[in-house]
Amino acid sequence: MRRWWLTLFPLPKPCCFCTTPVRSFAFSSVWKQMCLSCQEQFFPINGPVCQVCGRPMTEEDLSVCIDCRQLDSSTWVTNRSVVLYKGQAKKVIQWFKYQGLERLAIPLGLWMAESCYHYYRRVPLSLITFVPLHPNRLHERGFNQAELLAQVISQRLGLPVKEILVRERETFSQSHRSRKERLQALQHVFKVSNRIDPGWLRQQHILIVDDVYTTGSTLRECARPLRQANVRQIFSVTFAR
Amino acid sequence: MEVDEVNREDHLSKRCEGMQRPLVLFSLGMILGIWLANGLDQSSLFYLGLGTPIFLFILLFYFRKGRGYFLLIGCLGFLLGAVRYAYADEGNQSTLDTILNTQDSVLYVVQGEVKTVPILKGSRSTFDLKVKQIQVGSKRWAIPEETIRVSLYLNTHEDEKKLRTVERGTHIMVPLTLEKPVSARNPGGFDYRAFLHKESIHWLGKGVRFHELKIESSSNHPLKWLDRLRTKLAVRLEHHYEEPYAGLLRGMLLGERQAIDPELEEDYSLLGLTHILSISGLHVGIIVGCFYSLFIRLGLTREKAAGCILLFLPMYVCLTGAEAPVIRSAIMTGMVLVAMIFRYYQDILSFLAFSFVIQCAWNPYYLFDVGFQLTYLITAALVMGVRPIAEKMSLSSEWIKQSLAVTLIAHMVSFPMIIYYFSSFSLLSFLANLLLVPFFGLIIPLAMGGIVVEWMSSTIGSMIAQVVSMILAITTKGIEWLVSMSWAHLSWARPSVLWLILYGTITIYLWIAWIGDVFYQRVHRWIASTGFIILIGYAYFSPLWPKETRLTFLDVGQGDAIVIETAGGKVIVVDGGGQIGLEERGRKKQRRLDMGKRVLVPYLTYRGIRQIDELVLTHGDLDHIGGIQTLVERFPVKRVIRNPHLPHGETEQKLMDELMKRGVPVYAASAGKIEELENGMRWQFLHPDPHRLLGESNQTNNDSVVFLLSIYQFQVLMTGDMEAPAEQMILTKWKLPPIDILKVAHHGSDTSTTTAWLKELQPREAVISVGMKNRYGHPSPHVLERLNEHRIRVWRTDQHGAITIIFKPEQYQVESMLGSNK
Repeated sequence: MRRWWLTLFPLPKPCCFCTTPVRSFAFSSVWKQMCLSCQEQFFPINGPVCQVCGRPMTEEDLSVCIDCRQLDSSTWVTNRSVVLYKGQAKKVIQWFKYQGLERLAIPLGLWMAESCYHYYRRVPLSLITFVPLHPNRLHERGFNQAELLAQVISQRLGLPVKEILVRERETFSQSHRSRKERLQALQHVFKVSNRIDPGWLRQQHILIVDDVYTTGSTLRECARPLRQANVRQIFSVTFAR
Repeated sequence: MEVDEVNREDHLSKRCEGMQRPLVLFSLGMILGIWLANGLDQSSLFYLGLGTPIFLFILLFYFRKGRGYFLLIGCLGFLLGAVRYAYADEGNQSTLDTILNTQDSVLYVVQGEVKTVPILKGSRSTFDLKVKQIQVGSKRWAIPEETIRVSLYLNTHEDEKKLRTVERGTHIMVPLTLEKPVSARNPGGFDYRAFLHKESIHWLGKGVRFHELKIESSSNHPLKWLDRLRTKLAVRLEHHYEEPYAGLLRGMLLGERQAIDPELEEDYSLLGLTHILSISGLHVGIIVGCFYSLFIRLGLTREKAAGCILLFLPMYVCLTGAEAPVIRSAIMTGMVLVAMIFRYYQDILSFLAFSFVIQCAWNPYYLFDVGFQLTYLITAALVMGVRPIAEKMSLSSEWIKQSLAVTLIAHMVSFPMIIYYFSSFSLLSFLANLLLVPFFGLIIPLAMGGIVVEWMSSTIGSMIAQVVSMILAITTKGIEWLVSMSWAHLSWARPSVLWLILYGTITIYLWIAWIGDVFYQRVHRWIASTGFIILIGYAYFSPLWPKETRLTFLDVGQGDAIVIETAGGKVIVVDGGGQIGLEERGRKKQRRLDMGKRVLVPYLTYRGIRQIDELVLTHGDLDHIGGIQTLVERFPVKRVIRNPHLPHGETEQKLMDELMKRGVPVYAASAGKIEELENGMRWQFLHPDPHRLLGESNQTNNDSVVFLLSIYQFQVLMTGDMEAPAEQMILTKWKLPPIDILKVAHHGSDTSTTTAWLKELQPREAVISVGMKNRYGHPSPHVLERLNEHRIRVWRTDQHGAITIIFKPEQYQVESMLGSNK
């Protein structure tokens, strides 16, 4: 009986990240399509952020955070992130990346697209690309999480997505290394794919997509070959940081 | 690349999940099916034969690929809707059509079973009768399945007593004349025949001899006790409240719409408050809410309280007359209660769709009923729209937010329907609803409680009645005040279907732009709002744009009412009166029908006319000015032209006072005056000459205002009621050009339209504004003969209904509502 009832009078769509039904509209923001308990366990980055790396800031007078100041300003990549990498965000990234819950790319990507719209609305972005995986790793995982996110974002923002960067050598998990090691391990790992027309690339305003921002070194390394190729502008977006 | 494809599909399916409700999809399919079946007019087998293979194909596709579920459901709904409608339409035929002749007025003895409780209004009682047998002389026909609507006139108190024994299910025998319901006789008029067709009624039975009604066997209808209860409650209301409040409450609480004072009802509908008068979600909600909290107070569990209410709901529906809106809200409420009892999920939108499917399957004609359309459309919009819109408002009070959102949405949705069906939408409707609906939220439970409490203590009962009367008095004052602002009650021309579709799209877009989290929201909001305003503006201004000149002789029965709409947007009304011939005979209390209210105002409203530039009153007889009072109250008039006589009679005096009060300039027509109305159009007054009046003060036919209207190259002569002497005077005084269209004077009386007159004017068309079966014998056969001799095409409002002549610079074209002229 209950089954029949639920066929005729179905429950609303479940929350993006769990199974709780949520009354919402398809044209509502991802946040509104989430259940209250998930909302509680996410920590969205609102308010003032570091103008470079997108870290949430307490003092409004500083526009660039301490970490970014220590870096050479020529390597700065403007980045924005959606949520803090803790609580539900950490779990969701786990499910998405390591347990192969590919469908999570949709709410995550849509949410990121909303942030892109919020921060980069006035920027003439022309192209979306993503942090590449080494072919071995891609084979192992079956998909590139950044690529999936980039595809969802591109659909939502109406921008083309293109694989521009390739990873030259395999690096091992960043998480087991110290800060200095991480910075060094990545040096010159990425280069521009030789299938890309450099003249065309020079015209682009590029958005790089990744899932998590830790120190920003990955994104800076990604930006390096692009800068050398003289692209117009480089931005990046990550889901969590 | 493969990843990309899969991902995209996944994404898309995710987006569609909002449409997961199968019943909503099913009912959308059903709407389409019924609508199409109504347009195509094919047999049910046709749809079954065509639809089943398509359905099976989709079914196969669904089982093979696991996709197309929604298509499947929608298609099933479509198929069911089309077949159900076609089946119903096939069965909706009249057996009486094969037996009876439309023209004769033979008295048939009709035997049958009463199907509805007789409604008494004035001295006329109306009910539906399921005919078993009809008989005339020795001829007898058994009728298998046909319902007619019967009107019987009561004469004495004995009759009234007898009427009370006629109940649902009573078998009666009564002599009746049988006739077809009339179709619309005026543009934009009410098509009673089409209306009754949708109720499967094809014949009207009329009887004046109530004493000859014989009751063959009394009722054994299972619901007759409810009818009796309803009558009893109505009597109690009558006892406690004065008119018009008693009638109003009978309508609001018991669903007796006919008990409501028509004038009051009109005021309500003018202000868009009709939904209060018909029992609907508001009432059911209030009652269920009251009972529920009462039961919880009494210590019942929620489930038991819900169960008790569920048992009593059908009774309430039957008690209040089981109209479409109350059935809708009862089914929805019932589903909510069932869900409460079993602790199931409540999806209100699906419940709405569920009751839609049930109602349409029960009677597919419902889909074309205005009340039905309004109740479903508004409820659907409210269910979806209120919460998000209320959330968007930055107001502190939750209650104010809610009622603002409800009123806003209800207006946005009902606006196109109201102007489509009723051509009139008041700017004050929003305000009226916002201010007055809360009062009715108070009145309804109070008045109901009063009636219930009365059983226990009649003092408390009448105290409550006094309080309710007071609140009603306040609201009525408020309504009168709002109604008096006639500038705000605008006429809107009937919009096209394309406009309706555009309106629907833009409204949804506007809603999404407002409450959705879309990118470039400001741009979307701006575009949507602009589009919306343009659409409203178009609807408002389109009737003012240049079009062709139209001259319409309205069918007002015995009398004249002529409307001229010029290409430049000017409106000239010549006379407005008349009465229906049939109503005249055999009644002790003769009530003159206000043709201003019944025909003239509705026509002007239908045409989107908002003011009258020239009002010509040819002379003061009632069949020419009887409806002008209503007209003047409803529309601003710029100038009145009449003959120079002093007003005679009460009606004319009252009218002149009203004109004076409103400051309308009144001129006496003076023969010889020529005025240019606009480019290509002028009029010349030929009669009367103020210095040589022909008539007495109470007999002014021969001083009717006569004018010659030149439209492009065509000549129209308006004659009022002038007779031979006036014709003679005009002929001697003026050299007239050949006339294209002649209004035959004095409804075709033999005293006018002389041979000399016709010989001189040589008209091509003659229009006679005359009532069917009038007591004066107009038009005179001699006049018809004279017209015929001069080979003039004759148009008669009694035969052709309203006659419209459309002028273009190079030709004119005559159209009539009922059939064409040979």
